[in-house]
Amino acid sequence: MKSKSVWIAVMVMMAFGASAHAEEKPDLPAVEEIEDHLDELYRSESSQAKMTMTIVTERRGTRELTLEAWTAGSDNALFVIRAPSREAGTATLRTEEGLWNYAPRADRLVRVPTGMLSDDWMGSHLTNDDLVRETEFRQDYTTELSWADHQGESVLKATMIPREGAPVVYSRVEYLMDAEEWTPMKATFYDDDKKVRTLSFSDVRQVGQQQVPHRMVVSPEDRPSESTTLEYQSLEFGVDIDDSIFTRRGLRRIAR
Amino acid sequence: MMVWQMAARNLLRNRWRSGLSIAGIAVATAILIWNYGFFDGFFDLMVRGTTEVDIGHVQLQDERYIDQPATYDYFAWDEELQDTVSSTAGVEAVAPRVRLFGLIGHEERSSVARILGVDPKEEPRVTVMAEGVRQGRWLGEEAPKQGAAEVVIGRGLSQSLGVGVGDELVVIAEGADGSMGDGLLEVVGILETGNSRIDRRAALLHLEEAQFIAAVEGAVHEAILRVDNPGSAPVLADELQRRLDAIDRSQVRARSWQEVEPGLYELLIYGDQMNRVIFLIVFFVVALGVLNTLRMSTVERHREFGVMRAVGMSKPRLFWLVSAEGALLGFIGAAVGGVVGAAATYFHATAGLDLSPFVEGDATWMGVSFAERIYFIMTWKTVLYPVMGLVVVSTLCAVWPAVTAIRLNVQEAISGRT
Repeated sequence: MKSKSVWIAVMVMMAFGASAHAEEKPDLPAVEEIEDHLDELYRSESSQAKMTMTIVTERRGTRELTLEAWTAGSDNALFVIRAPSREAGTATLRTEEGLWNYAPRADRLVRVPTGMLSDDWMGSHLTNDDLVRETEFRQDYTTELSWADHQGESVLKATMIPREGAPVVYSRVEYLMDAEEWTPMKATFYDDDKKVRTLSFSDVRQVGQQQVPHRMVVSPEDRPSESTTLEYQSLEFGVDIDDSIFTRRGLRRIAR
Repeated sequence: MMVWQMAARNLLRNRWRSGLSIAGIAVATAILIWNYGFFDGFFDLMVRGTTEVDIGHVQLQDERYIDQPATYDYFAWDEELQDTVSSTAGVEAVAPRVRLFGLIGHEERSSVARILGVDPKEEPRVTVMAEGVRQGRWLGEEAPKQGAAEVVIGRGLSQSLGVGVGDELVVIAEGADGSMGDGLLEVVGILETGNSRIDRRAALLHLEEAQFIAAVEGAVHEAILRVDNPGSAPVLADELQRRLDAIDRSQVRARSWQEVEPGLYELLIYGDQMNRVIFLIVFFVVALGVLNTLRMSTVERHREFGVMRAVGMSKPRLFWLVSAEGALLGFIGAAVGGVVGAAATYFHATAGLDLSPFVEGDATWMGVSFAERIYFIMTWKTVLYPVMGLVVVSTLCAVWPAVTAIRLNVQEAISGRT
């Protein structure tokens, strides 16, 4: 029953898609290009950033963290909390081999299991995966592109469905992007057709060749009064990064 | 006295019939006693498995923590509160606890654990947690001043992390204010309590260490109490609540284990009712047997009863004679059964009954493991209820035959026309 109606929907969409295409909309970009663009947006070949994270919660009040981050290639990333002092030095390291949290008081690393990728990062509304991008759109999702209207503008819409076996808890992710620069404006995460959370991007600035939003707000749907705002104070691409900081020893040196 | 002698003599006239009836009563009595002892032992294991390992008899928590346990729903554990709790009549011991979930592990592996901050001196007075240490030892009386903190972890956690006594672990957890706390730990003991909630995921730390990680200095998430009479814990909890309200700490709720684990409590009540039904069924079956014996023996003796009446035995005396036969039958049977049943129950109360052949693998029910021995419980009730019950039942069974006997027309009975 269900599969039949899906087939009909697909056929109808194909028929109308062809005629819509014939109208005046510009050609859709290649799916791979969009996936790569989103995957690379905040890290390029290498990046260095300073940011503040403001976590607003109902019961624990507002908490502000100062972070420093480094990335190199698609596999290496390091996030270090610099303030407040109670948490300063707490870090998250991602390498080809996995994901670790660094516990400054214990001066030890703890491996974060893959199953916890979608758990929140350090009590924020961002997940581990949001931050270190263990999953990649190119590798873990199948993407479909279309045109959509967003606040009166024609925008590019990427609907991404996780591939089987991908460590993703969402059933669907929708990105709305600026039609020319493909700068993300809004991302909506679904679980079984139910909206789970939204990411809003703003404060777009030029970094190197790219337009990069410097402000990101995560709003969980089930707790409307809560949010996490990530603001980039500085973001540089193509910086020379000593690869040794992505080792356990290097992390200790930089985090302490 | 003569009635009893006559009753005994009458019973001995048909030894086979009386013997079989007595044997039936004896077996029924023994089975009831054994069954009673088993169920009491079983339910005791359930109650102790949940209360004495984890939840205590009465527990104190913030009212919001009850709805949904969250690290930030803690309450101040100050002296006034401690005094109020420990001075309540019936409270034997009080153990404060900090509870939170966190990541525990090392560079290679980690797992989410139920972190439990406990007072190493008070906890063993309320729960049997410390007795569950299978390897290594319980937490030291004082937390180490420097270096790694001590941790006792459940067997399951030690297996999934691949660590043993002496190994190092790291804990990272989100505190009550949302901040991340961490600590270096050394495994000092491995825990196996039979309660799967504890054995699989628990990590026990010193209260102070857990308070630091959870950022709740001077406060706790719960306090659990041992009381002198677990059966009347709800009454004590109500009284304690009144006293908490009186010192303006009404956001702290006192709940009995019956309220915390209503499923278990209902199960106990259900089990008790089931026991009653079993008693009734056994009584009924025994009654049919005894009734058959006594009725047969009175029907055969109509002529004899007629003669006894004719030579001057009064109706009440005849009634007593037949009733005494029933009572004697019941008494002897119940006495024999009582001795056998009590002996068997006593044996299983001391040596325990190994349930493992009957359960597959690591059977747990409501978090309590039944893979080990079950110890029966024998009180005076265990023996006396079945014994008294069966004496009463077989005496009552004599009423109908006795009434038939005294209603006989003497002439007809003597002439054999009945």
